[in-house]
Amino acid sequence: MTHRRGLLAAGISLVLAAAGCHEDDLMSPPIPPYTGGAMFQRYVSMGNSITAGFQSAGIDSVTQLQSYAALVASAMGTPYYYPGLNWPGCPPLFTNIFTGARVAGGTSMTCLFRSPNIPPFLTNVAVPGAEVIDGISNFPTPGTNSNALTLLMLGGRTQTQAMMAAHPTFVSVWLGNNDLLGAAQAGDTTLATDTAAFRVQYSEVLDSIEAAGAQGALLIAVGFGHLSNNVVPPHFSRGSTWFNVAASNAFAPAPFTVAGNCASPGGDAVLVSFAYGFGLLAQAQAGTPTTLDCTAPPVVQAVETAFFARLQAAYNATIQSQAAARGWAYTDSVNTTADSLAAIPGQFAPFPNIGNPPPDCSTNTFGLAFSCDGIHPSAATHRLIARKLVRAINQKYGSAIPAVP
Amino acid sequence: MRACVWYALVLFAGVPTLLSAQGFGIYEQGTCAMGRAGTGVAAPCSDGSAMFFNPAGLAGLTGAHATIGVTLIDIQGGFTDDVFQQHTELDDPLIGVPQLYISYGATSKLGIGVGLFAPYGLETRWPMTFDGRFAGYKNYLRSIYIQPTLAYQLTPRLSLGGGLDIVLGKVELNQRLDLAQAPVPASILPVSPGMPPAVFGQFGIAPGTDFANTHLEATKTTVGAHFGAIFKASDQLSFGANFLTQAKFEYSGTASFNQVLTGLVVPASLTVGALTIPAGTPIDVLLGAPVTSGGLGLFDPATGVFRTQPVTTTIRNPAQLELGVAYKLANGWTLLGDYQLTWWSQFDELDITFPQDASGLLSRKLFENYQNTSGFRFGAEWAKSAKWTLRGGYLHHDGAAPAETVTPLLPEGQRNEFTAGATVKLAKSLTADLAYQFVRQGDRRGRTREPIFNQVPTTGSNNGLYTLHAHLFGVSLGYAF
Repeated sequence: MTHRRGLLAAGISLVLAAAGCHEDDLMSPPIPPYTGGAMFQRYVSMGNSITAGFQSAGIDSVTQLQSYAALVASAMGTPYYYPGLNWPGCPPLFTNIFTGARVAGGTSMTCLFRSPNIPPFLTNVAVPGAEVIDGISNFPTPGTNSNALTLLMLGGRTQTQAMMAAHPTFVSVWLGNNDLLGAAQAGDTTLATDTAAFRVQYSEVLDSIEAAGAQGALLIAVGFGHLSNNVVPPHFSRGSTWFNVAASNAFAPAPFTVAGNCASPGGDAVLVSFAYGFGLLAQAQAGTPTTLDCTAPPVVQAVETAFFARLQAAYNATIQSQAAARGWAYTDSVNTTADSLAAIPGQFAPFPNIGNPPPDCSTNTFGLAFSCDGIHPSAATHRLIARKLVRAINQKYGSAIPAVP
Repeated sequence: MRACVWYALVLFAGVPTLLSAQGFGIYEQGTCAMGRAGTGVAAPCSDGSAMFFNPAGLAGLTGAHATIGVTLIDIQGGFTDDVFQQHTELDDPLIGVPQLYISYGATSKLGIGVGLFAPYGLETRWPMTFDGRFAGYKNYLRSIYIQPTLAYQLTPRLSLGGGLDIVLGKVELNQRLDLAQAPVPASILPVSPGMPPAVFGQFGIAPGTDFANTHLEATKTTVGAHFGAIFKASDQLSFGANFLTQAKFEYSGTASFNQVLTGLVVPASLTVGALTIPAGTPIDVLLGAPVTSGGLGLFDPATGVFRTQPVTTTIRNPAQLELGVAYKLANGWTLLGDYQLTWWSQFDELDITFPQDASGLLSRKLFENYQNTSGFRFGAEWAKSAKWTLRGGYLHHDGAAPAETVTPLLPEGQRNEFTAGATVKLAKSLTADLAYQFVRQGDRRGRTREPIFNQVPTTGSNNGLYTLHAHLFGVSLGYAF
């Protein structure tokens, strides 16, 4: 009887246990299975237009997924949520930079807003045009560079606010390029962010990352190529290059003149932006005689180039010291990668590939390393950047994030 | 004797484990019955609670009885989200469910009485930081049944009873509205045929941006009916059946809205359709300012979408059927077992309609798709002495809500419950009942948001895990006169 009673009790226990233990579970994203994977459960990338996935003076869901941030997230095995922009983009990409033609006949004002699939948080909080100050403030704070994409991507939040909302475990920061680039395009050094302001603003961004509880971060050096090594994006061409092309009658019969002050050797050290140089050429082709004068703004003079090179180095020294102070990773590998690419024929076009009629963007107008605006890297270059970044992270944190294929 | 209890438990435990339960039903309508896991269809307690558990139980009572009691429900639970694994605790207060029964044995065969009880209701409160606030952060559903009851002993073995239920219903829903999910007015961005309207989230507004508070409140009185029968096969063995009809409430009430400030500022000029929004425009001003001032006028008390206005909805308290058996052993022991079927499938859709909203943006259809449920209850009672009676029990039921409709309004699921109770005779005519019940609900995956634009929910929307357990305390006083 005692034995039977014990069996019955066991049976009851099993039945009750079965009834009570039929329970659901959390379905949390798995911890990446490689060494150190817990640090990369939720990755957030802060940054600029390159980070956001801007290419060929436009951005759409395809280029957003070609961003190095997307590739790094994929290698980490972490979810990648981005503010997907509806096709044909916001604005659509250039199909021909010389004619200004864009995808689907769009213009620089075309914007089909965001996809209705709203992610729970953003992995990529970068906004095109962002300087360091835009990491922490939006319009109407003086000095900010808010634009329509600031609203569409972040909804009026700052990058740090959006980053903190994601409760990141790891953050990468690539801010600072636009603090320098805007001034270079204008040929006006006074427009660059001074180093003291840069230090304060950059530090504030990093403080917010610490406040968010991130376990680690990667700080990416400013630039795409060391200016001190004379590596500049092909959006800028040497004055002497313009002079030589003009001398070959490539611009004829347009009444377009390149002044003698653009010739070598003086012209080797000045930089003419595509927007300025081809703006003059377009006016001439429309019948208005124009002259490219390599001593007048916005042409970047040698002394200004040297200034920007020093500024880049100063920015990066600040970033490196901040990384060291906080125990975070720092990498200058993007610049060294660009330096290397610049030395490979076909990667950097020293002058845009032109023709009559002007070739479309499929001809790699600015070289293989760049998209069709001469500033933003191509999809292939994003992949190189992602590889470098993953290596830098693994080196600093001893993790084993798989290599970007 | 203990072996007999085990045998009985095993007998009932042999049924499938995926049985069912009671959504927003509350079966703890008498402290005596609560102590024995709600069993008593075949042998109701003598405290007058037979009016709820089986009206036929009033037949054969002698004298008059009045019982007043309350069940205090202390619910502990919360939600843990999948992505951030953040846990949010329910903010429910101690909830009291009252009961009042007055019965009178008019003759040796005729019993009459009136009862007040609340077999359906819910109250869920969540903190304002919880993502589920957009589905509802403070929700009430109350149904007070007032039931005049009549019972008659047809034969020494068979008694029948019935009652008319006058049901006072009240529903209240408080929720926040998320700007990210709010549609852009068609006057600004016309809706393409066959396509849903664009939402503010497509302009970057982050999910979880509160911009309005909604308060819906409605009352309704309806009627239902209650029937019961008890058949005594012998002095020891009896069977019972109890049926409570559906109570349908066609609620009509008021919806009021208040603007909640987002603090966001439009960071750059933006043109949307015919509307150009200048950089620096506070989004709160854009939403609230009159149309004549360039705003959307959403909260305009006369013309705004979010003006105070009527709201209607229909909610059904489902019908329920209980079948039970009771067996009296020697030495004062009684064993009881009940089966409960509740037609929760009657709670399938919830249409919340705003008759004055021409835009149709406010009206919502919530797909609940509840399933009929079964519950199994097992109880034992021991009349230890003339002064003390002790009770215990166990019950199991499954969740009425299917996997795709486990929400902050009612994160319901299968439950295992254990009870204990006692009656003590304080004086010749005065008794007190005490009972305790522990409710352990299985952890259940669910969601925090309702689908937008009245889409049918799927389990793909489930974004975390609800947990729940509860302690129930029953206390009542009975007076015979």
